[in-house]
Amino acid sequence: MPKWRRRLKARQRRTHGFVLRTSLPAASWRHFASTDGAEINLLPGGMNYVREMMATEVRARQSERLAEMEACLVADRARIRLNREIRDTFFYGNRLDREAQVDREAQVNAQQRALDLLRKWLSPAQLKEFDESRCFHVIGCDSGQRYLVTLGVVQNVFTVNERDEKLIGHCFGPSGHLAAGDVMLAQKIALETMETEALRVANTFMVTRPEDYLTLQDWSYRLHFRGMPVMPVRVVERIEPGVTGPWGTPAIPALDAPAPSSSAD
Amino acid sequence: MALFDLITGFFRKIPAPAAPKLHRQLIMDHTGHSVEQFDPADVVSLAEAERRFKELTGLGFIAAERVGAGQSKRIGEFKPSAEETLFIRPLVGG
Repeated sequence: MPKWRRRLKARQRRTHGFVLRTSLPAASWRHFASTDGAEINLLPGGMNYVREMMATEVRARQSERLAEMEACLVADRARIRLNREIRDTFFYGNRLDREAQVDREAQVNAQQRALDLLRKWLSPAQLKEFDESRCFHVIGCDSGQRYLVTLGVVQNVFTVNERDEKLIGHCFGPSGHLAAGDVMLAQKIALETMETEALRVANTFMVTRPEDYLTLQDWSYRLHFRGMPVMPVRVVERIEPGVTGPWGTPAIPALDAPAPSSSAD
Repeated sequence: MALFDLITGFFRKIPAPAAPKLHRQLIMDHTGHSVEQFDPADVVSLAEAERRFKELTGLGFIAAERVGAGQSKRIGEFKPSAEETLFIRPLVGG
């Protein structure tokens, strides 16, 4: 092995903790398929490559992916709204536009009035919380359990533990189509004054954590990338020195291990 | 003294009689909520408020009284002293 190659590998070991098995320039790595736990070179005819990532890198990629998905959702909603407006204008003309506008204004007013009422009935701590994060905590009158009420009209009440993690969801509210503020106020009063009765009518639902949602979503396209089947990749949270990685990736030498000799390569 | 009072009193502003403090009944509906007011000192107004209370609770509405900052109390009977009563539609599972 030439000297420059040995030096390159040593430097990669120092900086990345492993050796890149490739002859391609580093700039092109980001164009390849990436999953949560590893990068795979899927270029046709290219050298297959698997790289494990550190937990921080995994998390960074997860948040990137989440941001992409959120952007897609926002774009979808905007597209749907535009399509609906085009359809309404085309079929119903100005008449529906005017009616819809009046209706929209009434809805906005109702939402605003309901939120004003909610603010009046919240305690100072709940109001502060609501202004900061659009949700507030409520203590159940019968069990003393903490609940989180988030902004919304359905599936917006959660049992939370002391670390504020959502354990289970409760779906209940006043009958009829009411504004979000009214629904949240009714939920607050119900939990604070008649917790057992409220929970008796409530439907419970499982709470999906953001990381679960991401993982579930990931599988659909992780198995197929550009029409090509891809092997699912194990997410490596922590790489222990001296342990051989999957797919025969080289072991990361322990800090006190002797320097690798050229014959080993 | 009486003459002095008579003269100066002419220029004094006559304080307006204090407006009766109206109590409110808030009924949740699709417009946010509608407000009904009643005067607890007025018998007719009080009877009307009680009739409204019984009608709504008979329909399944939950009546709650605000008792402090962020504190509320459920009431089953009409309470003339309640300054603000909120009528919540019957709860249903989502």
